[in-house]
Amino acid sequence: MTVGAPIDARSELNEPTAPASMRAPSRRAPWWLWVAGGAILVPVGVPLVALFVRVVGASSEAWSILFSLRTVELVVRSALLVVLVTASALAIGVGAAWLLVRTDLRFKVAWGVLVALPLVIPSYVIALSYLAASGPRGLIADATGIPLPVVSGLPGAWLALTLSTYPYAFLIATAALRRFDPALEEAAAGLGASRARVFRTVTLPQLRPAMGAAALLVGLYTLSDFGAVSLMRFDAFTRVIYAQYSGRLDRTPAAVLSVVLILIALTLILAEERSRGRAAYFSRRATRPLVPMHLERTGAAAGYVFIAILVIVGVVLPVGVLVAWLLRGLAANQTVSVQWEAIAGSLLGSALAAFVAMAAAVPAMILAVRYRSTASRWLERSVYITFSLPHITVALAVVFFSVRYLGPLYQSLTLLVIVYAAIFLAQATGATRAALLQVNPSVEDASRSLGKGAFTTLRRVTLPLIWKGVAVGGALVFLTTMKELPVTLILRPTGFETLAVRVWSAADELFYARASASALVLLLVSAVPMYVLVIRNREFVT
Amino acid sequence: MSSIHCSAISRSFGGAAALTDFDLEVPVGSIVSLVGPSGSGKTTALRVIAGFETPDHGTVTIGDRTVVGPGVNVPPERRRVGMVFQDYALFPHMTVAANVAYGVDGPSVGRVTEVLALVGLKGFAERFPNELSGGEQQRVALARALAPQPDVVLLDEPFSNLDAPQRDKMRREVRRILKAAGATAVFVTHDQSEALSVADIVAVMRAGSVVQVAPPHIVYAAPADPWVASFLGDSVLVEGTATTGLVSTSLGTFPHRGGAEGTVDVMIRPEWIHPYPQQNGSAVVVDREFYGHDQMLLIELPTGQRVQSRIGPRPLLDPGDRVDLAVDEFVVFPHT
Repeated sequence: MTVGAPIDARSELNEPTAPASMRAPSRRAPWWLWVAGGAILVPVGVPLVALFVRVVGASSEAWSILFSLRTVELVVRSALLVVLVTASALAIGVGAAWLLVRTDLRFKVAWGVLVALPLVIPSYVIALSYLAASGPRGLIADATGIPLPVVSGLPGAWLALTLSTYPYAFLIATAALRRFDPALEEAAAGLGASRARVFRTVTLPQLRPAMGAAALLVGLYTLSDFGAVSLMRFDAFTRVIYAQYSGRLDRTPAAVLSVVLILIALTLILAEERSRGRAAYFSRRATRPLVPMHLERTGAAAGYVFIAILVIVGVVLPVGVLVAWLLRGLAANQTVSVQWEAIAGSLLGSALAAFVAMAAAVPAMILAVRYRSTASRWLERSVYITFSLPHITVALAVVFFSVRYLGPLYQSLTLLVIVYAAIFLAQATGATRAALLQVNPSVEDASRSLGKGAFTTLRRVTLPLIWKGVAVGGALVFLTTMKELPVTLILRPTGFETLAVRVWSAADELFYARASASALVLLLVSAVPMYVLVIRNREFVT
Repeated sequence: MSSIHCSAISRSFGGAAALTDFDLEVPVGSIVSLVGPSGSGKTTALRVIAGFETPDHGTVTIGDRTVVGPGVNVPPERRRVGMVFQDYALFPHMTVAANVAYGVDGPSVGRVTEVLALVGLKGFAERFPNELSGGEQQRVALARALAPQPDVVLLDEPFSNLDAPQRDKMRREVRRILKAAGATAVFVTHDQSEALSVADIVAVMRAGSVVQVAPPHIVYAAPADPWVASFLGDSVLVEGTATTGLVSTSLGTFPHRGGAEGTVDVMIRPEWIHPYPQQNGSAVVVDREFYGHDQMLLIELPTGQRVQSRIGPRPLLDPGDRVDLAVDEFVVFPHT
C-alpha cells in the first residue's frame, strides 16, 4: 500500500553511526522533544494495548469465538495467499533485477523505471482493473467475444497482490546485485567452477539475505492488504475482520481476529527486523563496476519478452482498462462526473496527515539521531511497528477505544488525521532522519555555545538545513494517505468522502465505469507526483 | 575575559575513562594548549568546559562562576564560552555576516564589522561559507566565536583541516587575533610544534589527566618525565650513574645538582649534543639526514650505543667521520 517507507526503514538499522553524533549521550534531551515526537503514537498505542487487554481479559469467550469462526481455516487461507504471493513476487522481482543489473539488455534504465511503476498503483486499483477486464461482461470478452471466467477469489488476489508487491522485491534485489562484488564470482570461476556452480555456491548465498528481507516485506504487505482481497472476494484475515466489524452488532469477534492477525504480523515484523540486521553484514560495496553478462540472441529475446510482459500486465493493462471503462461509461451516458467532494476530502485528509506527521517526525528523529538512548531506540521501533501492523487492526483498535472513552472524538476528522499521521509516520521519519544525518552536529553545538537554547537552535539552524528532507517525508505521507483505504473506511466521519473510498465502494458494487473514473483521478493526483518525488529524491527515500 | 579553573574532573564512556582527575588552570588573557596523543581526553576536556559533555565528577569555574559542579550544570548556551570547532561548523545556510551576528544580542552590524576587520575579512560579509577557503572559514569561525565577547574561547584542533602552508600562516594569525582580542583561550592539538609555538602555557595530557603544565620552553627543556620528553620532540635517552654532584654516562661525566643517586635515566635533546670532527675521535658518524636548515646525525658511541645529534648545515659530516662529543644540557630522571 505504500512506497518508500519499508525501504526507508531499512536504512535505520544499517546506517553506519556517525561518531560525532555518538559523542553526546551524556546530554539529556529537552522534555518537549519527547512530547512532540512521541505523543502522536499514544492515540494508537493505547487503543492497541486496550484491545489486547479486552480480548485476553475475556479469554474463555475469546477462545470459543476463535473456535466458532473457523479461525484455523482463515489462518490457512491467509498463509496460502502469503506464500503464493511471496514466491511469485520474489521470482519476478529477482529475475527482473538480474536481467536489468547483470546482463547487457538495452535501455535498462527506462525498463527499470517501468518495471518499478506498479509501486504507485494501489492494490485495489490493480484488482479493480483485472475484475473489469475479465469475466463474461468484461472488456476482453467484449473485444474478443470469448467469454472469459472472471478473475477473482484466490487466483485474483494472488495476481493483484503479486503485481503490487514484486516491485519491492525488484528494488531490494537490484540494490543487492549492485553491491555485489564481481571479484567473488571471478575467484570461483578462476578456481575452475562452472557457471552453474558459481551461481549456486557464490551468487545465490550472497543474495540470500536480501531475498529473505524482500520475502518478509512482501509477506507482511500481503497479510495486511485489505483492498485487493476484499474486491477479489477472497476471505483472507483482513476481509473477514472487516465483514465481522461492519456486519454485526457484537464487535468481539472482530476484536479477537484482530488480535490474532496482529500477533501473526508482529512475528513477521520482528523476523524482518532481524533479517535487516543480518543483510547488512553480508552486503559489501563493489570494488569496481560489474561487467554485464552478454546474452545470446535467444536469451536476449526471452529477456525482453519477460520484461515487456511484466510492464504490460503491471502497468499498461491496468491503466488501459481503467481508461477503456471510463470511455465506455461516458459513451453510455453513465454518471461518471468528477466527485469534487471526494477530491477535496482526499486532499484535506492527506494534507493534514502530512503536516502532523512532519511535525512529529522532526522531534522524533532528533531524539533518535542526536540523543541516542534505549528510550529513543524504542521510539524509533514503535514508529516502524505502527507502520508495519495491518492498518485495519489499528483502525479497529482505535474505534473500540474511542467509542468507549473518547466520545466526541469518535468518527471525527481529528482522530482520523491523527491515526493517518501515526501509521505513516515511518515515511516522514525515514526522510527526516536521512536529512538530519547530513547535518554536522557541531553546527548545532556552535549555536548552543553562541548563547542559543535547544529550541532556538532547532528553529534557526537545524530546521533550515533539513526542511527539504522533511518536506519529502511529508509528501510521501501525503501521497500514501491519499491511497489509504481501510482506516478511512472505518474511521471517517459521516459524509467524509475520499477518492480511495469511492474507488473501492463503486468497484465493490460493480460500477466499474464510476470506479475507473475515481481511480484515474487518484492515479493522476497521487501517482505522478509520487513517482517524480521518489526518482528525484532518492537520497531521502531509498 | 575570565580565567578557567578545572578541578578533579572525571568522565567515562561506558567503562572507558576519558578523563581521570583532570586539573587545569588557565590564567586570564593567556593561551593554553592542551596537547596529547589521540585518545588522551583533550577533546573531552574541551567539551566539558564548553558544556557539551557533563562530567561524572569535578568542577569547572569560569571567572567566579561555577558552570558545572555538585548541583550545578549551566547549559552551554549560558556559559559565555566561544567555541571554534575542528570542522569550523559554520552555518552553511547563512552568510558570513549572519554567521558572525548569530550570537550577538541586539544591534550587531557594528560588532560584525569590527570582528571581521580583526580577523582580516573585510569585504567578505555577504559570502557564503562554501565560497571560502579553509583558512577563511577558520577566520570566520574565530570571528563568530569572538563576536558575542565571550568570557573564554575554546578551539578544537583548529589547524588540523588546513594544508601545511596555510597552517603555518594561520598559527601566527590565530595567535595575533586572540592576543588582539585579549582572549583567554584553550586550544586542543595533537601536534607538539603547534602546541609549543602558539601557546603561552602548554598542558600535556596523557590517559585522561594533565601530566605537566608549563610555558613552552620549560616543558621542552625540563619535561616532567621521559614520556613527556619524547612526546614533545626528539630525545636521546641514556642510562647513567649518579653520585654526589656528578652523573656519568656513555657520553661523558657531567656536573649534576639533583639529589638522585645510583642508576638514573639521562635525557638529552639531539641539538644539545655537539660533535667535533677529530682524527681519532671516540665516536663515529654512521648516518646523516640533511634538511637544509639543519642536519640530523646518527652517531655511534664507543659503547656501541647510537645517539642522534642535530647541528646546523655546516660542517657537513659524512658517515665514517670520527668525532668527539660535547653535551651542553641534559635532564636527569629516576631510573625506570
